[in-house]
This record gives sequence, structure tokens and C-alpha cells, in this order.
Amino acid sequence: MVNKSKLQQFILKLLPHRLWVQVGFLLVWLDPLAMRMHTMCSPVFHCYACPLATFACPIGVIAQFSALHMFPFIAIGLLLIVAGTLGSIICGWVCPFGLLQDLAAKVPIKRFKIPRWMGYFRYVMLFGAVILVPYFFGEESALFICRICPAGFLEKAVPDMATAAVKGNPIPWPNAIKITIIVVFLAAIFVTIRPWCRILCPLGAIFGFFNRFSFFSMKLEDHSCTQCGKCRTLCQYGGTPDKAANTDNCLRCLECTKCGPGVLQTSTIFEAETEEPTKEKSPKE
Amino acid sequence: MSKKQTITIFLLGLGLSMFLYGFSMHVLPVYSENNDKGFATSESALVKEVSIGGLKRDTDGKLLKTYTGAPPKACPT
Repeated sequence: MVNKSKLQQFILKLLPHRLWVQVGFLLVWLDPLAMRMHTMCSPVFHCYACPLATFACPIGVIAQFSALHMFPFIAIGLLLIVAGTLGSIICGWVCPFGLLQDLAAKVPIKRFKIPRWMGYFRYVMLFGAVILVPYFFGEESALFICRICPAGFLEKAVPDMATAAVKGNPIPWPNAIKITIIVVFLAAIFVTIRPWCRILCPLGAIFGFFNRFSFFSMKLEDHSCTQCGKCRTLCQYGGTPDKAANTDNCLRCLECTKCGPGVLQTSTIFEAETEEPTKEKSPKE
Repeated sequence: MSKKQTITIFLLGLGLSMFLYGFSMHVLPVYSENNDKGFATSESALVKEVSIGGLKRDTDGKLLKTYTGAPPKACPT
């Protein structure tokens, strides 16, 4: 048994309440004080067109700036600070779009596994729909991120349609592409876990990439690992924390830190950096 | 200090520098139909403008406001 750090002891106390932490952060993102601070980006995936959005979406801002051929210093700077400090812990504990998918994952039905290689589509989305398509084709392009984003549909189009229906006005139906995307998205969040975050989220691509460099880090006491494979069972996102604890596909829900011997712990890069295993292992049956 | 730790500190420093520069110093001229000289607009104001679809480039490469009077409530995309 490995001694647990104070940070890890705190995380273990907080872990059973992760969903409530995510719900608590909604008070930050859903603009309960109607402040509408859209001069600043948030570090989460939440559409700025939503009537309940405190801050601007960093991905939308980067895409719009790219379309206007400007460099978004504020958005990129903020993401570097947050990603460099926390990595994808934002995805696991803070993002409202992640919370929506986690809630859908509570429905007890059989889930399909997502192959790890599909996580690379996040980078295609980031460089394609967020940077290159806006830069070369402008915001009118059908592949501009905001035109294909399910968050935009759920957080802006749906409230608009509901409002129009309540007022008795003609309902502003989105085009067929958006409807198809949202139908696929809604089906996907019930048949697999966090499909958007793990396959397509461009913000998750940034945070995930910085997992290996972020100040907050996962520490694996390799010499104490019994290779029981419990961490793989605990990871509902299909990760292999015993193989590499700071990979780009990790959403840092930190569930794996509940593994029995306590060989996986939260830490900082200044403590954890030397603890990464050097060779691939497979868990014992 | 290891390579990873150096990268972490560099990234944090870079991010902080970019954020502070964008927030306090980065300014671009924005033109409108009634204004040929252009208003010096801070990046945080530009962030707000793009979030409502309030900016476009004209054929000369100038940043133009897409509206006159009251701003749109939300981005049209």
C-alpha cells in the first residue's frame, strides 16, 4: 500500500461528489446574475449564443478570429494557462457539456466502447473546423465549427424554437445537417460514454494534449503496481492508467485513483514526472 | 529541472504573456459605415463583437461592423 498525499486524500473525499461539483460549476457558466461577460472567454465548451452563457466560448472565439484573420491572444492565452495548470481536469469536473453527457451516461443501458484511435478526430476537428476552414473559407462555410456544433444547437436553437412555439410564432427550424448532427449526438450519448468529448471536442483536444505537461498531474508508483487491472475497470472512458496516466485521451475524472493499492495518485509535475512507467504492461487476469 | 518541467513553466509563461497582452495592449481599428477612420478596439471588445457575429472583413481587409445601431443579440451561426 502506497502512502497517500494530502491532495490525494482530499480528491478521494471529493470523488463521490464529482457530479455535484459539475452541477455547482453550472452556477458559473449559466449566468445566474445575468452579467453576460462576453468580453472574456471561459475555459469550457458552452455556446456564447446561449441565453444563459456568462462567458464567450473559446472555440467559437478562436474560429471567428481565424475567419477574420486575427490572432486570439486572450482565448489562446487563457487556454494555455488553464491547460498548462490543470490539463483535462476541466473536461472531467468543470465542463457543462461534459456534465450533460455524464447525466445521459447514468441511464442504465448497454454501452458501446469507443476505440482509442477515434480520439485523433478531435485534432482533425480542431485544426479543420476551428482553424483552417474558418481561415480559408470564412464563417459562411458549412464546416465552420459553430455551424456543426451540437452545443450551439442545444443551447441556442432549442431555446429559440421553444420560445417561438410558446409565443405562437413560426418555429425557426434548423437545416437538415444540424438536425442530423443533433439526432446522432443525442443517440450517441445514450449508447456510449462521452462521445463528443472523446471523439470530436476540439477543446478536449487542447486540454488532453497538455495532460503530459500540465502542472497538475497523475503520479503512477510503477514499482508498487500489482497490475491488478482495477484502474482500467474504474476508468469508464476506456483508458489504461496503469500503462500511461497522463495520456491525451484521459478526461481526468480521477476515478482511477480509487484503485486498491493506491499506486495512482494526483500530484504535480514536479513530483510525478519521474514516475511514468517506461514499458507497456497488461493487467493480470 | 527536467525537460517536462521546463515545458510546463514555458507554457504557463507563454499563456500568461499572451493573455495579458491580449487583454491590456492588443488593439485593432474597427470601421463602420459612418466612420472611415476606425475606432481603436481592444481585443476583449473584439471577443464580444465576434460572439454576436458583429464583425467582418471587407474587400480591403478592414474590420467592419456588420450592424448599425443596437447590436444583435446572438451570433447568427
